[in-house]
Amino acid sequence: MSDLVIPLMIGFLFAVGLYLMLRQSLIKLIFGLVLVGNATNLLVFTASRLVSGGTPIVRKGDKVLQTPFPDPLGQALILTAIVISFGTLAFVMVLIKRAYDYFGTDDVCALIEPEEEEIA
Amino acid sequence: MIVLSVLVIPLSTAAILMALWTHPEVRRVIALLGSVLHLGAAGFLLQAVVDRGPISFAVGSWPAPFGIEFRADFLGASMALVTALVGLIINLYTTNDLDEPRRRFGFHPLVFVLLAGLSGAFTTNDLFNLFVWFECILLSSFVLLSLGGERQQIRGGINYVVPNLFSSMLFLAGLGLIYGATGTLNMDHLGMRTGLVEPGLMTAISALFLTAFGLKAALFPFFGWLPTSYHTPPFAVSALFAGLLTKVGVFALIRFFTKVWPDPSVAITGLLLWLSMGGLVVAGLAAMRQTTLRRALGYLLVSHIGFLTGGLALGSPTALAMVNLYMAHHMIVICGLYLVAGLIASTAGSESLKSAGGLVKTHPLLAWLLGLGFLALAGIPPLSGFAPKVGLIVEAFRLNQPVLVAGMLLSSLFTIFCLAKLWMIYAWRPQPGDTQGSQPDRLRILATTLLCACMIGLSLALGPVATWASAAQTTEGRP
Repeated sequence: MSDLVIPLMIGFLFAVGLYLMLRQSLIKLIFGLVLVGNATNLLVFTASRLVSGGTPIVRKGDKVLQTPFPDPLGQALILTAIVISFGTLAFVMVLIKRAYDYFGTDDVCALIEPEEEEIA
Repeated sequence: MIVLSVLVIPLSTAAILMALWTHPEVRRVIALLGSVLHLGAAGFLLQAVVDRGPISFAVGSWPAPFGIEFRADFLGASMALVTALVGLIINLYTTNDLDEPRRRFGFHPLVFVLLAGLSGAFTTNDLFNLFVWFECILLSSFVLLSLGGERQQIRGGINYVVPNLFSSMLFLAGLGLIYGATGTLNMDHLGMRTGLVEPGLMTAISALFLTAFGLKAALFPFFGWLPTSYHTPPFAVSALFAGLLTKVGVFALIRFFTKVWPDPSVAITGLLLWLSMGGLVVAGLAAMRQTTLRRALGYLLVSHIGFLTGGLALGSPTALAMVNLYMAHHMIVICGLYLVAGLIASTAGSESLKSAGGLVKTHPLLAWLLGLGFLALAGIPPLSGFAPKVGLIVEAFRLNQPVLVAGMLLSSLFTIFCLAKLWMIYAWRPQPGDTQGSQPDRLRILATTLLCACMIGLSLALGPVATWASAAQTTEGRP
């Protein structure tokens, strides 16, 4: 069941995130980035195989892991990625706040530079 | 251990600079000292790689496919050396000439974090570790680009940040999929296993990587963010970014399509070839109608990326060696030109072409530097751009890729046309009226002159460097 639900959910998150990113609003851009980021993390999580029940920890007295166990590396990768995206998203939010202060609108078109005069 | 020195030196310099937050005078000295040490370490590394072949270092002594491995080959070590050189020049350039707020709010520590990130990306042999270095580069470059918070910087900042952030997410998605398909992240180990994955799946995964790295490398058609952001920060930052940042994207593409997936499918190489062709022509055309030197350089940079990715699409050892040479040459030359543009803008008091002119009479040294940079960028024979350019075109002929040959020749033509027009405006046109400019600081002139001397140095040393690069392509096998 979850074999189908999670991929569908990831696809849905990507679709919604991309749709929001393509709108004309800077605020929706942030939400889009958040959603795409989360979809990516889930994708990494799913791609390193979903296993229910069991932890990747060698129990006391055992020499090897007891099956079934999930792949710990995939989770370690996501943990790193989450921390990094935290930092970058915080920066983007501040940047967009500054842009709002300057341009007084969250319209993406405000970012288009006015055309400059031709070379003499 | 010598591999790690190119990482540890800039990172610890950044830390020391942060600790000396309240001592701006000491920071200036430390920044220069750190840069010199970094350059020395990178020089030693390249020397060692030339003498002994690729050098590996397993972090924490975990053996290769399990732990993170650093591995410096000729391509990586030569890029690391140019990075250290550009870092030193930028630090020298900004020693006296940087406004107080930028200096106070951590300009120099950020530059060193950026240099550490670049050195890491150039020497790592682990795909996820490459992602982490990319983020390290991105975060420091985000702040460097918008530090100062001027109106047009914020505008350029958003144009720069959003596509790069999105490309990181694509990179991560690709990483997850390739790990799921092969169960490893070590690049050499991946190279052994990607051949076993179903080719259709590998093509799909590599399309993600192509888009992610292509966005960072400003490959056509993903280059829109570059010319709309690179002209907004101070000249030193523009020079640093133009010299190094897009090249790390190209470098990642090279790593992916030579190491991770050594024999990519025809669909992907064909796509890369056409995208290179598009960039060469479209950006070359756009460069000709720009209104400032910096903007024109931005488009020329995008156009010349096509030489690098086109060479990668050809994929033969000769083409890859030429790409290596062209990349080293281009990093130095484009950075130098941005620095000269900065000097010219401060003598003229404005960046606009309207206030440009009379350089030959008023500032002969700047005219020399500009002329030298233009000739090198256009690839005029005695200078370093010529040999790799011709090498690439000949190789494209040999491999029967007339489209790429046409693209490269057209790009060269557009480049020469654009530079000749700019030269006539800057150097030969009489100075328009009186300008409110001031004489630029001596250290800035010294830094720019040094970099131009390095251009000549590279041109003189091109023979041996080309031999090493070709030898590296044929002998550096996988373990």
